[in-house]
Amino acid sequence: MSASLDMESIRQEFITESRELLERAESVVLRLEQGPDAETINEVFRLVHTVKGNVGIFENQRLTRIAHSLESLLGNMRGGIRVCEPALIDTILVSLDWLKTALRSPDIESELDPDLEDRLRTSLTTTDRDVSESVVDRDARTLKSESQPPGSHEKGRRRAEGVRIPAKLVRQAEREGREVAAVFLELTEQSDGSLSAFLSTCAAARDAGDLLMCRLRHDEIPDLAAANGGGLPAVLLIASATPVLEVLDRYGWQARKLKIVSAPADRITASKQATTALPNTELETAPNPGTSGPISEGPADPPGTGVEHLRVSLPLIDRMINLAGATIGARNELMQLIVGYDEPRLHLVGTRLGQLVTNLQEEIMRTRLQEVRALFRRIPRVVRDVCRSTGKQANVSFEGEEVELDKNLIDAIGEAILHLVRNAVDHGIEAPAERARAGKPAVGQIKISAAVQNGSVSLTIQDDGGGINHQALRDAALRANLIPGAATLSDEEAADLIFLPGLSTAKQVTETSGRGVGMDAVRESFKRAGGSVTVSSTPGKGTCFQATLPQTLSIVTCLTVRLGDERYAVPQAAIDELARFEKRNVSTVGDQLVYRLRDRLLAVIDLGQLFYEREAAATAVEPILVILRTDRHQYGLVVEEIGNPEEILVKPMGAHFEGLALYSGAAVLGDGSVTPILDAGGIARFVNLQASLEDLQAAETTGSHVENSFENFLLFESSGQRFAISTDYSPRIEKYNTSVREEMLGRTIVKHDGLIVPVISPSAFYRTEAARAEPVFLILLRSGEMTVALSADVIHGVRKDLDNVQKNAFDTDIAISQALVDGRTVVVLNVPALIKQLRQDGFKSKNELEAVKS
Amino acid sequence: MNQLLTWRLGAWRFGLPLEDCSEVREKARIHHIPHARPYILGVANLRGEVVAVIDLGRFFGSRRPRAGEEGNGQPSACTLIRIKHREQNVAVNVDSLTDVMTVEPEQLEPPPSNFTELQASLTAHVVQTGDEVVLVLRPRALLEPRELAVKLKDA
Repeated sequence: MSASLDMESIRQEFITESRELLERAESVVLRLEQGPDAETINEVFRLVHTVKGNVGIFENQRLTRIAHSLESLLGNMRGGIRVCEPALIDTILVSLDWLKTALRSPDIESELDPDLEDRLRTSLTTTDRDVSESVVDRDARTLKSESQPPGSHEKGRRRAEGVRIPAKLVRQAEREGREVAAVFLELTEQSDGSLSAFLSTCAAARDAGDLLMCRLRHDEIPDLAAANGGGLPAVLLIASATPVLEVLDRYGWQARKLKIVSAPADRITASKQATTALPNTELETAPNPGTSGPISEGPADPPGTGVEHLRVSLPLIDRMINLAGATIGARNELMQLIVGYDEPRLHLVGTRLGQLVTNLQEEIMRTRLQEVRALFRRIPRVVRDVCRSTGKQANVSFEGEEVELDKNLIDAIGEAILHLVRNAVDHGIEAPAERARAGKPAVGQIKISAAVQNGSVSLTIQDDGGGINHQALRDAALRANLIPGAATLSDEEAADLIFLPGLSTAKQVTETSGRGVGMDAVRESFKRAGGSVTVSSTPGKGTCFQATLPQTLSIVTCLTVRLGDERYAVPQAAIDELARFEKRNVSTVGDQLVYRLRDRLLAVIDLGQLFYEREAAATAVEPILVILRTDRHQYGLVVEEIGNPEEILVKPMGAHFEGLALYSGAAVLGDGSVTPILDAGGIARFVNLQASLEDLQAAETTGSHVENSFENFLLFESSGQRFAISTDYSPRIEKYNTSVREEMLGRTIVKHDGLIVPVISPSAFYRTEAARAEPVFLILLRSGEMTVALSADVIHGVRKDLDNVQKNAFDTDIAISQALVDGRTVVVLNVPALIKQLRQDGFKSKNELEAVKS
Repeated sequence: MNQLLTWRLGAWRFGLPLEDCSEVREKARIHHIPHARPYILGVANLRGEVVAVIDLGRFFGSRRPRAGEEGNGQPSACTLIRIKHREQNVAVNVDSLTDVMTVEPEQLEPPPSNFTELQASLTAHVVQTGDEVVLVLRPRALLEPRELAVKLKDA
């Protein structure tokens, strides 16, 4: 049994590897179409050769035959028997597709395209060139290249030319420390263009020992002369102790192409640099002939990384992630237990273990990351196909291919991205004639880029086509009666209409539409993957789709909220702020509960009411308001209590909860209990929350603000030290955003609500380790006329009572006291003292600033 | 099929082919999921997996209180049978486990005609044993949430 299992896993491995190789081959073939050269053909050949070897194990005759035929065809191209032309590229691509499909179930004789074999066979028997002409000698010392007569390119004809370089000559030159280079040149371009003058310089060079060999393809001269009006290619083999370019200068030779065959190590760069100064000269550095590798290369390794890779099955990684999640849960529970013991060593080990588990989990999550290159690789083919079917011309370029994304996410959004690319060519890029009229180059540009920002990945698809017709969309929305006030939408809002299901402008319907993925499905895919997508467009200039995705799916930092005996997790990313819920700040606008928080009104949803028809605001001693933000809403969720933030492993809830938007998944916590993860947007939709907060603001009623009677503390961590501040200062937690940060007169400031707010790193007062480069959160505090922002890396939530409060042990009045919370020392900050310190540093309050202004 | 795991729930006795039962868990804690479909009792953590718990009483009468509805919101703990079918998981709550019975194919009878459509779709066969009837469930039907929800609404 185990033997058959092993065989199966080996087969799976072969399939995966072969499919990867085929995908790589496809992208290389597309490059071939752009401009064929010997090295690219070689690369495809090597890839297909390896695939052929792999498929041998499947005992599928047809699969083996097709792979073999394809290899032979590529072999012929490599040998120069076949030239690279669009029809041939088509055949190769179709064959690669066929192989890919057939590899899905290699045991079944696939019923795909019965003509394919015939086509391949026909392609094989056709030759574009006399076989005897081509010199295919892979015996180490062969230099292959092409010399390309001017004007021959347009005709799709090219002459592959093998130039045999005697190994003896090269070895001898190497021994003498000389550089050996092959120079391809056109006789007609030399100083006086006469053959005799050229031959005499050659003779001189040979006498001086600079020229090893000169080859004129005499047999081709008549043919060439007829084909392009007198081109005469020649190849010189130069061996010289001085840089090759100097030799060329000395004899007045104008090179078209230069290939270094062998050079002393220090010389290559010098030659390369020098060559850049020579227009129209290509330089290639040949691989060291002694080490030219075997035909097959390792799968999927980006060249030159020198890192070894191991293929690991996805189910194994998923099991590891599950275990990591369970370990984190157990760690959290252990840490809570440890707090109860008065044993410093236990705490030390506990903390270290905790850190290790966190690191371990992060690394395991990384195993799922895959470069977006894997996704981008599929794009050129799509662009090419749509171009061919629509008669358009488009060029696609990539940026940030090395950006990494969870494999599940890449799979989840792959189709959506391809759809956007297809649309960009089909609807975005105009036909060449139309582009010419608009004064644009005939070839459209599609730029696809990926970048990492604040732990999320942003993907951009930008085309330089005709852009979106905003008016047409408004009209279509009105016609379809989808949006009542569509006529008054801004351009940006109108562009967003393309994501609406069921909306279609007459112009947009073409044969490429209706592939089963509409724009609404595109948006849905990104949403399901935990991201979003937006569009912006400038008429006549082009359209840009921007998508944002989390880098990994599975582990999310959540705050747990409590309701009776049940706990629910709220993703930290959705939380704007935590505040104490004060009953007197609640009022009603229409049938909506609103809460007055400082100077604004918030819609409020009572989670207890929503879930158990039992208001948390009434059942809890001290209810907490969790302020959530989604794309469209900001509202407060009233809960009985909040716990500490935890990293939790998100698990799907399964098919029985399909369509229940309240939850985005579930998590298993440290004590083994299951917690649903609340979906902020889903809750808003569930209760049909009014999107427009402005309406609430307009209906504002005046509420009085009453001071708290007991002390609550917000706990947070900055540069590894825990701090606490009294919630009397209405601390407001905001995600730190580098874009609002500025350096002003040696101080870090942020702009907030039009105010300049100084950023304070509390640990700076204690001269602990230097503050980390960028904090994660800012805690905004107001005291009197001053607003300050404290930098924080972790927010630990609100605590009512601080135990074990001890007198300030430090020689600074920035702290009021120290306290022990969860076994860790917390410094309780003295906000007035902090602000006093700031003012001594010369920072002015808002009033003073205004006084200065007036 | 010849071996059935059987159990009692309310007035009914149910059975499932042994090979479809992957686990029996006693004193499992069920977590209520507010606003879930009415036949869902909640979710349970079974070996690290989050598994939906289906209340068969909901389909056959004799409904049990949901987790969180009992007393002062104490989450209920009960015995669960985890059903695994084609890599999909679901659990049902039971009052008490009874025997593993061996049945011969000729003992299997079709569900009685007074069953509702929903009940009939959940029941593959009935087996007469002594003066009792065992309903042999169709595991696949329990894994078709859309069907269940629609039929429950109609019933």
